[in-house]
Order: sequence, then C-alpha cells, then structure tokens
Amino acid sequence: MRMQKLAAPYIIWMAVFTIAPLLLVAFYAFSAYDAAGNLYFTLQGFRSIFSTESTVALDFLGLSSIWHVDLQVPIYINVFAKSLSLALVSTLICLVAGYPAAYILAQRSKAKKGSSFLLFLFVLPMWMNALLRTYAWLALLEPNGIINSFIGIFGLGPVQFLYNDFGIGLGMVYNYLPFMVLPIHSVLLKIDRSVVEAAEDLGANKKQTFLKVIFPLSLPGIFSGINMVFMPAMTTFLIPDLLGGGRYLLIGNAIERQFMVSRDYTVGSALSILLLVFVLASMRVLTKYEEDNAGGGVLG
Amino acid sequence: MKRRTLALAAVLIFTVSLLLTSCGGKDRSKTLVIYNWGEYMSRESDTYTLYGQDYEITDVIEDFKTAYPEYDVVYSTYDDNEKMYPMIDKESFDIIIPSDYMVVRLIKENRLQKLDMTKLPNVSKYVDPRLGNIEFDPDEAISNQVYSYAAPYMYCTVGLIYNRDELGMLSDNDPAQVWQTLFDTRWENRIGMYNSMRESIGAALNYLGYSLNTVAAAELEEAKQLLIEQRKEVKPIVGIDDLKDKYVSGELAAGIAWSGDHVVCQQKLEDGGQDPEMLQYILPEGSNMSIDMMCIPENAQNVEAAHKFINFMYEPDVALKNAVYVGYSSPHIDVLNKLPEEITSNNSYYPDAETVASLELYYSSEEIDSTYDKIWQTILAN
Repeated sequence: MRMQKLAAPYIIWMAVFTIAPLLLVAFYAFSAYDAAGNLYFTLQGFRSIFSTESTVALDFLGLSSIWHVDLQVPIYINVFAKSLSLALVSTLICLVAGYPAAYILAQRSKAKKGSSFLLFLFVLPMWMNALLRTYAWLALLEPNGIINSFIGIFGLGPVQFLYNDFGIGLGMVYNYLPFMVLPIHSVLLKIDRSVVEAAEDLGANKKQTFLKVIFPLSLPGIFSGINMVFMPAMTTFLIPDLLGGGRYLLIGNAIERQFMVSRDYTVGSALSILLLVFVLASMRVLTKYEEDNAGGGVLG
Repeated sequence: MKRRTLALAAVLIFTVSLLLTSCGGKDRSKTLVIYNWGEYMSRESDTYTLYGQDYEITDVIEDFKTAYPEYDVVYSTYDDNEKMYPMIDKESFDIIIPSDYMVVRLIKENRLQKLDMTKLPNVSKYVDPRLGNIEFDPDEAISNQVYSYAAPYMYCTVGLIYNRDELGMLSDNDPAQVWQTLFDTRWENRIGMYNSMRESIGAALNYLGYSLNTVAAAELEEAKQLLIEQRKEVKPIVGIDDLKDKYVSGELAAGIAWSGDHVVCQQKLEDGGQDPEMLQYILPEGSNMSIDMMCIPENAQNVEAAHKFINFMYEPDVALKNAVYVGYSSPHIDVLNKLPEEITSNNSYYPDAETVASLELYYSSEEIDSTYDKIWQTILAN
C-alpha cells in the first residue's frame, strides 16, 4: 500500500506528460475543421498518407538510388522507407562494431584489467549534449574541415563525407553505439564463468564455446541493444537535419513539417500515430524474441 | 481504485485546459509587445564599417525607451512567417513584422488594424516612392489596401550569390542565364538552396521563364522535375542561416540568396580580413522581391504605443541604424543618402523603378499554398 503512494508522483507525471499528449495526438489525427470552423470526425489524415495522388520511386535500402528499380509509392511511404533503411543499417553497424567492444570490455573486467577506465571512456561523450557532439562532426567532416585538411596534406581529397547517407549513418552510429555496447556488456558480465569452464572441460574449442554458449546467452543484451539503437535512429530528426545538409526528409522531419509549415495537424498527427504503432509493434516483436530466448536459455 | 481513476481524470482535464487556454490578464496599457524576425533590428552598440564608412549603432529598443520612458517593451522573435502566424492568436502583440504575402493573408482574414496615418508623420514623409506601386495581390482592391494596414520595414530581392573567383563576374540578368548555375553538375555539392518552398520553386519557375505565382499544372510539373533532378545530380546543400558561413568559407560556390544575406556575407568577409568583393550577387529579371512590413494585429492591446513605435522606426537615425545592422534594403529615403553609394546605386539591392516593375511578389491563396506545398513535399521525399 505504501509503495503505491510512493508511485503517485510518477503516475501524475505520466498522466500529464505522456497520456494526455497521446490522447491529444489521437484526437487531432481523427478530426479536422470544416470551412465553417466546426470540428468533425475524419479519416482524411490517414487517407492522404496512403494517397497515390503524388508518388515517388521507393528507395528502401537503395532500391532506386543504387539498384535503379522504379517502384512508385506514395511519398510518405518512401519517407518511412528511407528512415527505416537508415535506422536498420545503423543498428546493424552498431551491433557488428559494438559486440566485439562489449566482449573485450567484459573479458577485461572479469580479469580485472582496468576495464572501468575503458568503460568510462565509452560513457564520457554521453555526458555532453547530442547537439554539440553532432556539430563537432560537422567541423570534422566539412570539405574544409579538420579531416579533409589533414588528408589534403598528402594530396588527397577533399572527400565528400557530409550531406549523404554516409554522414547520417556515421552520426547515428556514433551517437547510439554506447546504447548497443552497454546492455551487451552487462549481460556478458553476468555469464557465469563456470558455464564457460564446463564447455571447455567437455572439449569445446574457443570458437565452439563462443558460438554455442556465450553468444546465445548474450542474446537478451543484443535485443535490448537493438531496441535502444533502432528506436531513436528511426525517429531522429536532428542528425539528418545537420549531417544531411537539410536535404533529407525522414519521418521525424516530415512530422515536424506538417505541424510547423503545412499546419496540417490532421496529417501530422496521423503520421505520428502510424510511427507510434510501428515502433510499438517492433518493440513487441523484439520483447517476444527476448522472452522466448530467456526461457529457452542454455541452463533454462 | 475508483478514486485513482477519478484523480487521473482530474489531472487529464487540468492539463487539457492548461493547453487550451492561454494565461494573461495583467495590465497592458504601459507595455508594448513586439514580435519581430530574429536579428532584424539593431539591438547592440557597435561600430560597423561599410565600404570604408563608419556607422555607430545602438540598441534602438533602448532608444525608444529613452524617448518614451512611460512604456515597457517586451521583445520576442521568430524565424518564419508560418511560425509567427499561429502565435498571434495565442498572444496579443502590438507590433508584428510579417512579409508581404502574410500581410495580405492577415488583411483578408481581418486580423490587422488600420494604421492611423495622422499619427505616423515620419512614414508619409520618408517612405521610398519606388515601393509605391506594387502589386501585392492579384485582387487590386486588396492590393491597394495594403499600405493602409502596414508600413514597410525592410525589403529584399532573391538572386544568385556567387563566388567571383570561381564563376567570374556575371552581368547578364536574364533569368535563364543566372539560374543555370544552380542546375549545373559542375557544382555538385557546392550549391546552396534555401529550405523554403517559395524560393526554391520560384527560382526554378523563373529559370524556365514562368511566373512565380503560376498555378498551371504543366509549368509546375516542369519545375518540380527540374528540382528533383537537381537534388539527385547537383546535390545542393539546403539550409537558411548556416549557408552564409559556407559561402564565406568558400565551401559553397553559388546559391539562391536574399540580397540581405549577401550583405551579411560581405561583412563577414570584411571582418575576417578577406576581400568582400569575392562574393557577388546578381538579381535576375522577373525574380522575387519581398517587403517586410510593420503591422498592428487586431487583438493588439496598446495601439497608441504601437503607432509611436512605427513612427519612431522611421526616425532617420533609427532607420539608419537598423539598415546598417540588418543589411536589407531600407524603404527610407533619408537612409539612402547616408548609406555608401556602392550599396544604394546597386540595382540588385535597390532596384530602380523599371526593375521593380519586372519583379514579382509571392501571392498567397489557398490554391497556391496547397499546390506548392504538395509539390515541395514530393521534392523533399525524393
């Protein structure tokens, strides 16, 4: 009972700042004003998102820009697909780059070889504002920036790092990598040393031990890492705005535009609702995997 | 359990009502509330050098408070007409400074008060006659009314800013000649475009030889395809304020620019000890001119002070400080005599009557707004 009273501030907080705004968004998504200024129920917002009145070539994972496939889709579907492909690729890179880092960190902490300093270095940039860190990348990568000036000494470049998929991908990987490393690291740390020893005693070599014991046991960490990287990467609009040179319309920017420029609250809210449903659904899928794997773990 | 649901409901109602009502209610008769573009009024004490001439500027709001000590001034800024528009319903401002098409829209929606010209002697005395005959709206009746609701504050043109060292000097102001730079793959990744639909679509239309306000589907389609192709082939850098530093550093070779931004770029070059003439500006025939104007919203609460403020902005020394600080073209004839001749005789900044007649203002109507917005979204989504 006393615990419930302690929860009251959080309940109020969530009601005011999470539930009420969500209800407002849902309300806007299904309503519009007619010419006389009367509010009415409508599905127009959702209809115009899927409207085929104006279409563009789908660019999911480079479909039109690299493979030159011309598949016409409604413009918001393409905006969605572009956001999704950038988020997927960034998440994959974070995973591939982050797993070994988490593994090495965990090995060192188990052997007590000063891993806390390494971990500290990983976390240190997160103490600074993401906006500032992204601006720093601008200064580094600009055509007249630090990196290009440096390779210019050897007569190379200037290389166009910015305002393309590379720049945005780099920004996302840099910003979200710690969110991948930390959960995997903490799961790896918790793996009982005796499980690994048992595998070795039973004749497994290093590769087998890793693939059959350590990796499956670390899956929960991987899932929560993916969760923590994919969601912000899907919804970001700061990174594409700065590192994309303003050329990129991702789903976050598209929603902002609807509210601030087109002033079409109905379409803007409908887009937000769709994004929310998508994010919730993908989280649901991930948690389901996580639960299944936790239940079917090696020693389960 | 029931009580908790009730409490939740109460909290919900409380927040919703907070969101829907605006707070207010304090005595406003001694306060003047101004809502202006960012960096669009002299708000600092400094010395500016233009073409070797020194100009002392001061904070003109402080000057106003010295001249009219009875008023308190609240000053806030916006960076976009579209962001300003919803705010004038939420709060009551005494002075707003929207661009021409927004003024027309506000007049049509009855959201502005008529100015009392007897209280604005400076405006009648100093306003530049070259702005006297401007078509603000296809509807002549509305167009003729604009100056009874609004006093010009600054104006500017839309043209091409370019790096003289890379492009050489351009002198032909045929729009097809000027704008072709924007669509030339030679300048891949080195063209600047404003993140603004009317300027982008407008430059494409002007290049193709069409009106900036066309609603002909075929003409707009052509402009749309041109801009989509530009995004893919030339890969322009899109922004607003951040572009200026990129022209100054030489990262960008050319781009669309408001004349005022070019002046700011030249000042930045001069401050950095470089040759300000490195960045040039050319105004194509038939391009856009825009005029920002001081207006009093319908819900203003201190109309008296608002008139005093508009008149004060037309005091010659105040108008000069603003013109020097902002860098946009001043509609004040006395300021023209005091600014360096290099600026006032430049037809791209201060277009003569003949050039003004060739320029177009952006019109705003539901049809234009929604057609252009759709095209712009499609361009952005590519």
